[in-house]
Amino acid sequence: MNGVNQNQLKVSPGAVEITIGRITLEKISTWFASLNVMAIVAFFASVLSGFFWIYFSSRGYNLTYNDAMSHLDIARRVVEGVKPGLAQLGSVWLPLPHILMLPTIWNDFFWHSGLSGGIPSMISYVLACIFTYKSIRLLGGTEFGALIGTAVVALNTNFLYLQTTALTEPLFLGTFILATYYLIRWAKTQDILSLVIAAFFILLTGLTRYDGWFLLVFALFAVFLSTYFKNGWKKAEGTTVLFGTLASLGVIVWFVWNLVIFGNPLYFATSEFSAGAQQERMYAAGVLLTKGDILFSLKTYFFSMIDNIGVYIFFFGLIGWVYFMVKNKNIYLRAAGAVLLAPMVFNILSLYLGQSALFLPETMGNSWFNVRYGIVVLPWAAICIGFLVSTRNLLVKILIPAIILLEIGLSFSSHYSITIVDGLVGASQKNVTLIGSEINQYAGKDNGLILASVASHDAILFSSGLPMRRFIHEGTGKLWMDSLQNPDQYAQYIIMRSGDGSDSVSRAMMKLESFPIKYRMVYKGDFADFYERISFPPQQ
Amino acid sequence: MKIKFYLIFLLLTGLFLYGLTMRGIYGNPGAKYINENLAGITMPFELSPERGRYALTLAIAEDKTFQLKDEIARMALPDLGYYKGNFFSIFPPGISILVLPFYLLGKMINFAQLAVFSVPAIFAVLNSILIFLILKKFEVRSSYAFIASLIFSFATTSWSYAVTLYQHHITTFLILSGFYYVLRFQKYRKLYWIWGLLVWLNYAVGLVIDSPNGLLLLPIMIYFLTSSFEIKIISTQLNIKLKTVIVYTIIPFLVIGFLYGYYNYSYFGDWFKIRKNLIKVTDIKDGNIISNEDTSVTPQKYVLGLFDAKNIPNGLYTLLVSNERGLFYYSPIMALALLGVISAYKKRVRETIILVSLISLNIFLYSAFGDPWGGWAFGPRYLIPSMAILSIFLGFAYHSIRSFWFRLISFPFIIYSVAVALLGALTTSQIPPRVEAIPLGIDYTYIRNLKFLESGQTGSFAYNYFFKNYLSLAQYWLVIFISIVILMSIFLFVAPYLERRKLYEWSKPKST
Repeated sequence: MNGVNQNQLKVSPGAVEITIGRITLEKISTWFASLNVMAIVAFFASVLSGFFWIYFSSRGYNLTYNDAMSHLDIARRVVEGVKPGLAQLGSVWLPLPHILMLPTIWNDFFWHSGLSGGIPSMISYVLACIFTYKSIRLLGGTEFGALIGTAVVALNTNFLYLQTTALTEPLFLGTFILATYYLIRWAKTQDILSLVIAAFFILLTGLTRYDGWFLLVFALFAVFLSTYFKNGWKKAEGTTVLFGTLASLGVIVWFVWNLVIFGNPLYFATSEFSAGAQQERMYAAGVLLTKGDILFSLKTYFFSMIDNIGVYIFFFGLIGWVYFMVKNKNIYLRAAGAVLLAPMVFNILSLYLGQSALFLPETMGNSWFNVRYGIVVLPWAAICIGFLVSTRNLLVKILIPAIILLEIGLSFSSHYSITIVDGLVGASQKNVTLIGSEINQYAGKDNGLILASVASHDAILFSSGLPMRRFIHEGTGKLWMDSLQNPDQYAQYIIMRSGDGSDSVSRAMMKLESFPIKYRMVYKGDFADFYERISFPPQQ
Repeated sequence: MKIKFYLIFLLLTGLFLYGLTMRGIYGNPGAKYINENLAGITMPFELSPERGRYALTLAIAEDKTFQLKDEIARMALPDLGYYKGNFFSIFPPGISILVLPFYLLGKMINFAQLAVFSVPAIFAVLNSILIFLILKKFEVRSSYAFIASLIFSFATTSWSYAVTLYQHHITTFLILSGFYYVLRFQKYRKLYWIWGLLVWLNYAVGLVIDSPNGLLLLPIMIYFLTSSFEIKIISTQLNIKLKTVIVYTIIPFLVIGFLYGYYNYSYFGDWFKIRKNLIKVTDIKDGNIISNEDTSVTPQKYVLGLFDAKNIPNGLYTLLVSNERGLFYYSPIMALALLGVISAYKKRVRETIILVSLISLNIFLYSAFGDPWGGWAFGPRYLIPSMAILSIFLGFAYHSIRSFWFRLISFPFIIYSVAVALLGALTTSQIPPRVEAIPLGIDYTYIRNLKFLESGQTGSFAYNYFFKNYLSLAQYWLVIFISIVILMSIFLFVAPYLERRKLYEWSKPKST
């Protein structure tokens, strides 16, 4: 064999020398080239996703959020209840997360374990990892840069937690990253099919969270302006119409849905159950401090972002974004870069306009509420960091990944995830396990109907473990209306918060003089009380 | 000007100015005297870190034990540990052992306390010399290297911790000297293994000085490791060479590591866990221990356990920009050092990466620490190693941006930073974090120091014994301040000009 091809180990005084021959080097480089990195990313993301679902669900953490339980209940009511059907999808929350739960929610295990909501979230998590990697590669990032960017998404403890829940953020992140990927592909290649696919995923984001609506507006502007500056009005008009028609379909469908089911296309925004109405009540109570205060809104959302993605990751993401916008001369790519910021801008604006509420210890004392909103900037940070560390500068290439990995490592070693804190002790949860089991004990013995407002007590319904067909709620139409007038005619049990009129059942019962005669309280809980009808003889 | 001149000048300036501000008294104060007379604000033992370390020195020297008894134990409060009926200092014993010879020598001439407090000052001077030497290794002009050294010593809050008994200057010395040793080690000349031995020795001593040093010094060890490798591509072959010296110079690390492990084991029952089982005592009343920790369970203490990701946002804010401790608030001149990173990177890629890693790790670790304020303290005391490295980058900035205007712009930053640093060194380090200050109705910035300056309260030995009858404390502050400003302006504006002229003369062909 030729000396150049030989591998050698030489031990001399003071040194150990290893020489790797040409053939071995070629073999190593061929092996590396043959690796399907994307498949490896997909594999590890799937393993992490599954492992953390088992980890969190075995501790019951995936069901600590009231909203997570409500999402599961909404989907369940479509297939099972006093009045099942698609109309049960309701008006407040956008329908896609619930529609994706339908294939499994009929099964009690999938419903009560939360897995029904977990599956779309977990798939979204895996897709988010894969498409973060692909987006960075598509932008010209190196393999290393793409892996670091992917690690930012894959190893974020908050995302790892949220992807085990039925909350809507993971699905939004998944569809958002997919939309971004195809927008970048269109920006790079001007391939119309990519633009159509991007529009499709923006449609999906618009059916997942209202953040998606703002994303739609942002993307429309980005597509129009970049095409206009590059190719003039005519091309811009055509491209925007093509893109906008599909991308805005979700929003249009939602308006039509509200009109058909609830008689008002803006019912989702104006009804008493809407987020806006909820925020109005908070504003009246003096706790919505972000409304009308842009600086406080900025501060609040800034802390939410750094609490969710990490302060170093946020700042490196910001540097990466500036670097991306400066370095790329391609106006289409700059437009795609601007679209990445849409969720951030949306959240700041909605805080300022009083359309959302977000409490953090840094801004509101020892309180947590909706802290997870900051997670939606994760793709922005990850893609920009991946792009940044793809630079040739060794200082950036070594130091930034090292600090990022340290930050991620520390969040694991200190078992810290702010979204879990919110789910365990924040205002996003109510410990309804106790009242749930009490209701199960009392009402589980018979088949009597239970009157309850799902707008206020959906988590209790979930926690009771009773089938949906036992409940009379806002979605049961005439039965609900009649029950509020004459509860004893229909409901053997009532769940409500006594005395303060904070839920619609409570308000109705306060008006009924016969209520105290016909019902007796059998359990007093922290968040609601449980009543049993006394005009009927006790069950045997 | 010759390098030797600069080094001697640095040494003398450092010793003189630190001497003027050194906290102390004449005599060999015992624990009872310290507790009753020297633990008040602006006094030499105003804070528990200096008391705790001095207490252990007293215990070793006087009682020949690491256990703290009676008044000595009380002296260490609230940094006092309790285990199986005995009291211990919660600090690693390194500093207390290091200053022991100074204590014993000082005691002979009735200067025990001052002799002990001079140790951090000596290390601070060594640090300024190391900054100078490192910059010279990188071919930075002497006047700029000198000004960078002066800035570290007298324009950062590190000054406050050079005149009392804290670990920070020793940790900084271990980092800077470790870096310098590896620079020398790389040359691969005769006896280069000695540098390897010193690197390992530094790492071992670092562990005994302060627990987080094991992490803070890691970039130096990585630098040492990478310097031991040589990777070459020779005609399509990859050749990797490892200098085995990195392995056999580990001996000092093993010896000191073993001794420290044995110390932990013999007193606290575990070789590796730091002060395992030690319960922190907050007070002793009528012989009873008062502790916030559950004394019925065995606490497990790990170095990593001190750091938590949720602290990072607040920690970063506190350490970098807050008016409580912010580095750039107390020493804004450090912000200009960031410009030097770019020019340093162009010159020495690997070294710049290591230096920036050291700063990043320092900031990262303490931003994740539950108490980024460092208790009651003056300025960001945990960032003193970063201040030293930033001063190196400042030297680079002056060297590469040779504009007179840049130096002129930096000058007000220097003046402000010197003024604040001197204020802290002369008065007190007892500045509470905001959260504690507000209920107590006291200031939590250097405004608190100004009040002590006005009222003439200082722990400075030189002032109290020699100048008090001639100058008010404010005048004393002013004299030192003006001296430093004049010194700095000479080396910032005049010396570079002279150096340039000399270089020009050297470059001219000699006439025959």
